[in-house]
Amino acid sequence: MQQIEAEQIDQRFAATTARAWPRQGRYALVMLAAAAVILPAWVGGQSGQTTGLLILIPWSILAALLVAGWLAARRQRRSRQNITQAWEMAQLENWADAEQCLDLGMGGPIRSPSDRWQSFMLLATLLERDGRHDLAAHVHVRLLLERIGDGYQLQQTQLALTMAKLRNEELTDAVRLLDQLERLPMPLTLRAVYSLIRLYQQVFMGHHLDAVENMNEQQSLFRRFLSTRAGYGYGLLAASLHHLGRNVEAAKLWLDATTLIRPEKLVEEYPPLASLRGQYPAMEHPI
Amino acid sequence: MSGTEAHRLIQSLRRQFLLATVTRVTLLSVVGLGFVLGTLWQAHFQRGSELMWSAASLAAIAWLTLTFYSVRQIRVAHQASAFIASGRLDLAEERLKNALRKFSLYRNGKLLACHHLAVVAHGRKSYRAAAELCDGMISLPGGPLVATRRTCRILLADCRLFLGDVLAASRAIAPLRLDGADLGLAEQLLLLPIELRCQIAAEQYEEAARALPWKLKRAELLDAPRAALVHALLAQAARKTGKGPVADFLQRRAELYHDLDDLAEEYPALRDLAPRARSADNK
Repeated sequence: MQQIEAEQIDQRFAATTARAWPRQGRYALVMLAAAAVILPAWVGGQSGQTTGLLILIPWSILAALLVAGWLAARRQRRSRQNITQAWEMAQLENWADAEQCLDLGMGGPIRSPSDRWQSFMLLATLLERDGRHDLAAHVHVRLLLERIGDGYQLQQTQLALTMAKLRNEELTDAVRLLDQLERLPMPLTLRAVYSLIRLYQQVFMGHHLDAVENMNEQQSLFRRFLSTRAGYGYGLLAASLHHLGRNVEAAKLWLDATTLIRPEKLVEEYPPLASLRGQYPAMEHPI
Repeated sequence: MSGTEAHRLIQSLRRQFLLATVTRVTLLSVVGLGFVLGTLWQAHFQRGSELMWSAASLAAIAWLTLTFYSVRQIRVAHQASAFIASGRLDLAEERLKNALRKFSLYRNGKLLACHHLAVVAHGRKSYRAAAELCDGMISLPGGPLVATRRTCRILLADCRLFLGDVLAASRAIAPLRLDGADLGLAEQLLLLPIELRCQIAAEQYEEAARALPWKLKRAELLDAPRAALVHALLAQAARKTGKGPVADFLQRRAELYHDLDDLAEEYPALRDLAPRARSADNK
């Protein structure tokens, strides 16, 4: 990720803000354009004094409006394509390509709040990969303050902010946010993400007994909703069990975790898991 | 929604497209002719010129009115997709059927509504109806946009597989290449389990076990049940092609994603695998 500071992030927020046209204004513009075409033609036809200019001007205005609309729509379409491609690249862990596509996608105003949310969340992910958790948190805070995205996306932002705070070792803030989120109603998919973050906080702060208190429920929640990322949850539970001396259970969970995700990736994402490497056998990946 | 009803909808869609084309051509001709003749005749044939201007103006107003009316239909289709996302398939179906019965000047709104209706029918396990709609959309002259056509093919193949027609399913996705540059990641993720189901059902194990790392990377991005399905199918293909350790690894991963017994009830291709999965779990 290229060197970027909070000011440049703020500039990106400003650059991607779309000018809001009120809906009535848009309709009025279209009706005006239509009237500009129809009325002179009608009046000209009635009076018999239609000149070439009288006909040409309104048609030119309408054509210019249509071309401008078409160009704006094309720019939005391209921006959306770039943002989608950036997300796809990020999912496949092609980070350099993801960054390149994202830069193209954020090159101008983004009209859809959902696309704008997606692009800034990806920017935050790229910053986190560079270990710049404070800047990632800055992006999340701005998304929340400006309420960019729908309700579900805003909850995702809150969860991402909590994780960024944890990784940046702003533990008081992170725990406060987690306590707030615990009381909020949220879909089970997000509840599973919340549980994973809470588990990480407990492992990170050494609250191992708390971490394994509802181990079975957590495991089933991770398995149902986190798909491959459930491996991180199993790894974190294994870490707590290891610290509590429950080695047989830790070994089984570590094997499950490494079956889903390679050990080096587990440790890269969650550094406290480094203590388990070498202690317990990991699954060999034959592919 | 039944297959017959879906068939009737597609036939009505064909008639509506024809009517829309005729209307568009007529209105455009009246506007064009009115504009040209109104200008040419104004010096010598005043009454004719006035008539031409009036006709052109009326045609333009009619075009605008019909455009606004058609835009409302596109909005209905988008509203229906929100209903689909929130699980209210009954409401979505009702709205989409109404939208499909109304006249529209443009094809795209109708095709979008028809595509959403196929998704709803598939979601409600009315596979015959969904297949009729997808088949009808693909075969419509001009057809839907390229991306929608691809999704229709994938949906059609899925329906055909559930109806037990492996050959028709393979035919539906034959023009799509899983590793082709034209498919986006989202489409690859839709196609991967379906293509594998076709290959396993047709006993094309070598083909299914090809490019394993590429397929595995995408399988890891799927939701848990579909990730389990893809892993289980790949395990089956690996076992049949003599890659024992790889098959064991894939099957263990499949078990971690989801209960294979549950999946085997929905996907007959996994019935061979399920007993082995249970014994692996007991080890």
